[in-house]
Parts: sequence; C-alpha cells; structure tokens
Amino acid sequence: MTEVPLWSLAVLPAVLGAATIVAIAFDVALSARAGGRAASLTEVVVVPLREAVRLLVGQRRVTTAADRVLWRTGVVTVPVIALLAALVLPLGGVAVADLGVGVVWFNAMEILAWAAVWMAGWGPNSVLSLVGGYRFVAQGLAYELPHMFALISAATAAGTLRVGGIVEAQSGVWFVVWMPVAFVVYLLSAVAMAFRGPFDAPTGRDLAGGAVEELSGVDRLVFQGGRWLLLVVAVAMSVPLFLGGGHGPLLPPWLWTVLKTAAVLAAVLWLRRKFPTVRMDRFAEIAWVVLIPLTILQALAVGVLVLTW
Amino acid sequence: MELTRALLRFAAGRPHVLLLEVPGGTATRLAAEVELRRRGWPAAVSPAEADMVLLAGAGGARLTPMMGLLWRQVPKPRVFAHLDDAATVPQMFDEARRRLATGGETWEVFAGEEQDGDEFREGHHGDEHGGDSDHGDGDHEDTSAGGGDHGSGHEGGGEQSGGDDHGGGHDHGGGHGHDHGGMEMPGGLSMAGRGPDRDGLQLDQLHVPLGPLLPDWPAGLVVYTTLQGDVVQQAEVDVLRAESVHEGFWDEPWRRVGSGQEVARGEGARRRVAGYLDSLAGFLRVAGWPDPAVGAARSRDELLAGARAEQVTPRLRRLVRRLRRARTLRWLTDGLGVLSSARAESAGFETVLRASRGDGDVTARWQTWLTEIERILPQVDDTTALPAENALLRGESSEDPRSLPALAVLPELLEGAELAAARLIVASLAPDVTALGGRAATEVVGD
Amino acid sequence: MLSAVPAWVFGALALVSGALVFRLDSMAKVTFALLASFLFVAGEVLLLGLGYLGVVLVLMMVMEMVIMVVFMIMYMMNPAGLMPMAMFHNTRGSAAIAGGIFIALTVGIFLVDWPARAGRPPADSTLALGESLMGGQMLTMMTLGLALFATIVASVVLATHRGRYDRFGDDLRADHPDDPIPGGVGR
Repeated sequence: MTEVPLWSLAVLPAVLGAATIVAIAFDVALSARAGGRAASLTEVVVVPLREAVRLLVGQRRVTTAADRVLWRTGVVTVPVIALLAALVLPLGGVAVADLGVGVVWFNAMEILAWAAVWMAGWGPNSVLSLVGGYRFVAQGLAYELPHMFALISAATAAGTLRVGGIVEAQSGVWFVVWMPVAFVVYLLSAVAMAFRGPFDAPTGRDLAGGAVEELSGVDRLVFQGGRWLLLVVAVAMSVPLFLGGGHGPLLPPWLWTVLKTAAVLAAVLWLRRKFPTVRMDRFAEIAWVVLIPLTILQALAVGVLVLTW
Repeated sequence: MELTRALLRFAAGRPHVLLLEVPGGTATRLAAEVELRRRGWPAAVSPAEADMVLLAGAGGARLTPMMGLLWRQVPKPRVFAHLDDAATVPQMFDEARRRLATGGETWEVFAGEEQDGDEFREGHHGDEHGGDSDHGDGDHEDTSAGGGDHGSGHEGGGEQSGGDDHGGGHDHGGGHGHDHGGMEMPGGLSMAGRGPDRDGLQLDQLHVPLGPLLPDWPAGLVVYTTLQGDVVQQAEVDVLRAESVHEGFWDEPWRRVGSGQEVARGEGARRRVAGYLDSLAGFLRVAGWPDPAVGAARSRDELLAGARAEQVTPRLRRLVRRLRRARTLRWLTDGLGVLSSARAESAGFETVLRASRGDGDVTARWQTWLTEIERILPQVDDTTALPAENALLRGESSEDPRSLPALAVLPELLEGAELAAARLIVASLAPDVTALGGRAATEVVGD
Repeated sequence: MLSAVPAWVFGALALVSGALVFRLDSMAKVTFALLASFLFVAGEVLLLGLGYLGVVLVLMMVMEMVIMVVFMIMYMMNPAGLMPMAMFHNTRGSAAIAGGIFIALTVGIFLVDWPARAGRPPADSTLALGESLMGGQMLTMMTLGLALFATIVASVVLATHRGRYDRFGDDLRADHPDDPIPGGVGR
C-alpha cells in the first residue's frame, strides 16, 4: 500500500461528501417509489442540496437552560469522527493514512459517537431529546461487543490490524466466505452505530425526533449530514474488511472498491425498508445472548483455521 | 439580497411540514396528507424540523396558548396555516409555499379566525425562547405543547422543571425541590422532585404531557405522564374538546342516514376500511416503518376518493399479506399493552375492539385491523342502502358510553411502559376522540 | 524536535481539562472534561510511538466516561446533575494533597537519574506489546482477565434485587421470566 500526499486530506471529504449525496438521493428515490410517485433523477439528486440550503438559511435555535457547550460539541463531533474514521479507509490500495493499528483506530473513532449522541441529546435540556441520547447509549452497549468480535475476526485472519494488510490477505478468498457471521454482524452494527433505520430509535418518530428533536438550522445540517457520513464510512469499511477491498478481475482496484461499496450501501438502504424500528428493550437481549456467543464462535473458528492452515 | 432570496426560493422547494390535527380536522388532515404525498414534501416530526406548521381542524381557546408555545419553537423562515376546509388545501399549500419562498416572517393565520392570529402574534413576541421564567417551559414543551389551562404543573416538560412547581393534583416525593431555593436555577426552572422507581432507586420525576400537538398522535388526546427516565410512572388522560360540536369523520355516512338521506352500504364499508387503514398508517409510522405506512395511507386515500374495489384490492391484499408475515414487527409489539379479557369486558370493549378479548396485546390489535380490512373490503362497491336502524342521530355518538373504553384503559396500560411502548399502545388503541367515540360508533353500527 | 510541540500542547491541555473537572459546575460537563483530559493523555501516548496503547486508551475511555456520565447523573444528590453544583469536598485538604503529590512528582522527574536508551524501539510496537503480554505474561493476563470478569459478574449479582427466583418462580420452572420489560429472546 502506498503512502499518499497530504492533499488527499482535502480530497477525502469531497469524495465522501459525494458518496453521501448519492446515498441520500438513492434513499429519497426509494421513498418516492414507496409513496407511489415517480421521482426523476434530477429531482432526487437536488434533494440533498435543497436540504442543505434549507438548513443553512434556517434559524438556529436555543432552548431554555441548554447546556450549549456539550450540545454543540456533540453535534460537531458526529461528522468529525466520521472523517477521522475514514482516514484508514482504503480506496483501491490507497488510504489517507494506512495506520499500523487501523482497525483499532476505526473502532475508537466510531465509539466517539456514543459521547457525541449522548451530548447532543443532553444539551438542549429537553425530555424527548434526552431520552434519545440515552437510547443511543443503550444501543451502543448492545451492538458494540458483537461489532468488536467481528472486527477481531477479520484482523485475526489477516494477522494484522492494518487495514491495508487485511485487504492483501484477501487476494485469494474474501473473508466474507469463511466468516459470514462476522460480516452480517458487522453490517448490523455499522447501521446501528450510524443510528439509521432500523436502528434509528435514538432519533425515532415516537420521540418526535429524539436526539435531533431540538436541532435546527446549521446544527441540524451538521448532525444529520454527519450521520449519513458515518453510515457511508461504516458501510464502506465492510469492503476492505470482508469483501476483498480492491481485489477483483479486469477493473482497476479503485473502481472495484467503489462498485462494492455502492452495492453494499444500496443493499443496506434497501433492506432498511423491510424492517420497522428495532427497540433496544428487545434487541439488547438478542445482542448479548445470541450475537455475542455467535461472534465469539466465529472468532474462535477463524483462530483455529488460521493456526491449523 | 438577491442571493438570499434565490436561496430561500430554492429551499422552499421541499419544505418540511408539521401537520397537526385537532378535533374536527380529520377531513382536512387527510386532504393535506394527500397533498404532501403528491408533492413529495416530508412530514416534520418536531417544531424544530418544520418550515411549515399546518393545523387541521378548528382551534379553541385551550389550544391557542399551546399553539403559541409551539410556534415559538419553529425556526425561521416559517409559515403557519390553518386548514379548515379540505377543498382549499391545495391552494393553501401553494400559498404557504409562496410565502415561505419570499422568506419573511410569514406566519399569520390566513384562513383562520382573526382572533387566533392575534394570540399567536403575542406568543411570537417571546421570540428567542429566552428566559421568560414564569413559563419555565420554553422549548421543552416540544411538540407536546400540553398544559394549557390544566394547572401549571404540566407546563414544564423539561429536564429540570417538572418536579415541584405544579399545583394541581399530583403529590409526590416529599419536598425535594424547593429546599434549594437559595440557589439560582438555570433558566428559572425549578428542580425535579424524586420518587421510587421500579428498580428500587430514587430517581427524578418529570411531568411531561404527551399531545395534543404531537404528530402521529390521536387528535385531541392529551396524556399527562409522570416520567422517570423514559418509563411512564403515572398517566392521566384528558381530552381536548373543540368548542363547537364536531362530528366524527369516520361515522359520517351513518349520520347522513340518520338525517334521512339514502346512503349506500358500500359507502359505509369504504369509510370503515379507510378508518382502519388510517389507524394502521399512524401505528406503522410510530413503529418506525415508513414504507407500509405510506402504502396504507395511499390505499386509504384512494378508497376515500372513491376508487373501485378492484383498483384498491390487489395493493391492499399485498400490504395485508406483508404485514401478516412481518415477524420483526410482531416480535417488537408482542406482549405490549396487554389488556386482560376481564378488564376489556368491564371497560366496555366487547363490541368495540375484538382483539381485546383473550388478553390482547398491541400485536393482536393491529392484526385485528388487518382481519377487519380483509373482511369489509369486498363490500365497498355495495350499492344497496344502509339500513335505517343503524343510523346515527345528530350528536349521538358524543354521548355513546361505549366510546370511552379506550380512554378508560389507557392509564393502566401506559403505567410501567417505556415511552416507545407507550406510543405504540396509544397508536394501537387509536382512540378517536374527535366526536368521542366516532370509531366506537362505526364499530357498533357498522354491520 | 518537532514532536515536542504537540507533546507540550497535549500536556498543557490535559492539565487544563483536568483542572476543569473541579471548576465546572455540572456533572455532565465535568465528566466530559475528564474524558478530554484522558484523550490528551492518549495523544501523548501516541506521540511516544505506542499506536496501539494510545488508540485503545481513546476507545476505552470514551466508553467508560459515557457509562460513567449516566451513573453520575443517575446517582446525583442533585437531580439530573444539571443544576449548578460545586465539585469540591474537603477543599483545603484535597488541595493540599493534590498540590503535594504534583510537586513530589515534578521534583521526582528532575531528581531521578534517567537511564540512557539501550537498544532500539521495535519496528512494530503493537507486535512487541502483544508478545510481551501474551508470551511470558500469558498466565498473569489470563488470570487477571478471569478475575475482572468474575468481579463484574459478582458485583452485578450482588447489586440486583431481582434474582432468578423472582424471574422464574420458586421452583425455577416458569416458561417465561417475569420481567418488568420483556426481553427479545423470549426465553
């Protein structure tokens, strides 16, 4: 894996931003279809842009006795951690920073979402918002351990924590083939960490928006945009971890990465529509009693295979 | 500035609309939902998200201060419109959008009574939610701008307020609040009191009203809750009645029979299926499943617009089949809000909600809607006249004692439930308080 | 040395946010000030070239502090922890102890005869760390891990007021546990 120059730091947000806009547009198109309306391509592509402008010209709100410091910090943290996590994301053999501890870095950055959403929910001093923030902590406690075991499975198989190394280890067989449980659990937890549906209880309709309830104007733009970014980054990470990164016949590695990412993202957004919002009072038990043992077994199987092979 | 104007115009192309229904507003709310779907405008779930606040139905004296409170939470640029006639809804949408696009503080009630407008203007002066501390509520009121004249206790939905500043009714938590009186309270709010929780801890109690201005919430219903964390410790049900007599939208055909008109059986069936679909759509939105919710709403609107059975049936059957196979939804709603058969009977549910028999839970209730939809759907093109003995006389449903069971059992079902479950329970009972018992009446007189 | 600049900056910021823990007046802010302090320390560890330790520090501390803030606020005498409150107890005594320890440590830094570096840092510090933890110290680490786990389980068992007899009945024969909120597995 090659080191890349510093200007890639500026390219990364642009690439991710474009990917996010495409993802939002796709989601809008799916929504329009569900509502029985044929939406034209230009219409759906304009939607993310229109939303951004709408929120930029919108007024920012302040609430009574709000904890502004934590509120704003929480809001800004969401997109920031998404970008920081994306530093180790390889695009066809090139990552902005292919850290030796890339997997752990990625995990550490996404865990900051716990603090971010809690702070965003706490800040406005509003009941429903606060409940939303707490819901995300409960959700984190449910998804995080299975998520870590899924990451460990991939790292164990490759014998490295470097994301580039994990991609190289999949030049033959993709990891998804011999660790399907880890792959599925990873995708579940990726969606849960970006608290997008069906794991969107922290911002659920039943809470009138929960953690985002009191956000308006640019705050809302930053938070909601950051959430989409987080989803795109977390889902994109499944490609180097389990789907062989840039490996593939004929096409150049970067194109393979883009294609695979787009496919997984589309699948995730499409599958979301098949399920209602999953509440943690039901899912937490599944996570701890079913998913954790499953992922431990998966990691064990991978470990045994690595040792005997 | 030219640029600002252009941006405002661009942004107004897809405004987020907070659609609120109050008693008597069902028909206009339905018309507005059709319009929203046609234009592809998203429905806002909180005042902070909204660009447009649309109020369907007639406001009353009790509602006005609540609306003022809610309006203060809507960020600018913003528009308010009072929808009081289903026929003019599309024009109202165009007008509201035009005003939004020109950006100003355009919020007056341009189709409502003048008096309401003045009230709002007053609320609007508070503007940036600062510390007008006698309310102490500012923004925590959220969408559930409850309270009103119900005693100041329910005003503060906020983190800190709740506790001891309320005068009416509840007594709790032995004086934890005001002994800190010397300390300066942030934003003029008072401290929350405490009470024992279900795990044996002493935790804060907040008094949070749910409704009436809450999206996906039965129109006119207010539930005053005492929350610890997100667990409802206590619930008290209240109904926001409109001042003038309003008659339920869902039992209108039977009332027409009562006034001597000849009404086709199919029309009654149509209204009933649409009523169940409306409840189903609301429930699915609360459950966080937008796609089938939109599907149910579409079929509902087509039925009400007079679509023939064969046009609606295939899609409706697919929807019902999909929901019957929805194992995740069942898993999420099983065991919530279980109503024992004895209690259902004593509350007077026996004819109203069949699912309540045999210890029905939320799952049983939404599955009953599916069964009913399938059962009644074939009758929607029946042109024989509705028999006169099923007729409703004017204003009759309002006194129907069987219209109250849903409200009677709500407090006991909600107590101990988490907020998410509480919302699902309310949505699964879908009490129609518009005419206090519109749903009950259709159920009773339907066949 | 270019890395000296961030080292000093992180050090100063860690101290400042550590001091803020006592100066701020809300439990929530205080907890996150403590988190910030830990994150700056993690920055120092990263500057030392210990990538794994530094990043794991971030990971653990964020989880820890978010869980801590929940408990701090839940158990506060002061409901919801949002009311302004002082973070001091025994102000003079603790100031004396803290100041004394700080001075002792600082003096120690200057008095200790630091050894010169022998050998070179490993090419992969993560690998070296893993080998030293899971090589010679394997038994220690495994024992430690089990002991920690047993402690967690034991303290939860001691803390909860509902045991299996409450959930499954006196003869433990109930099909479904009697819980205030049913779980999702349906055992």
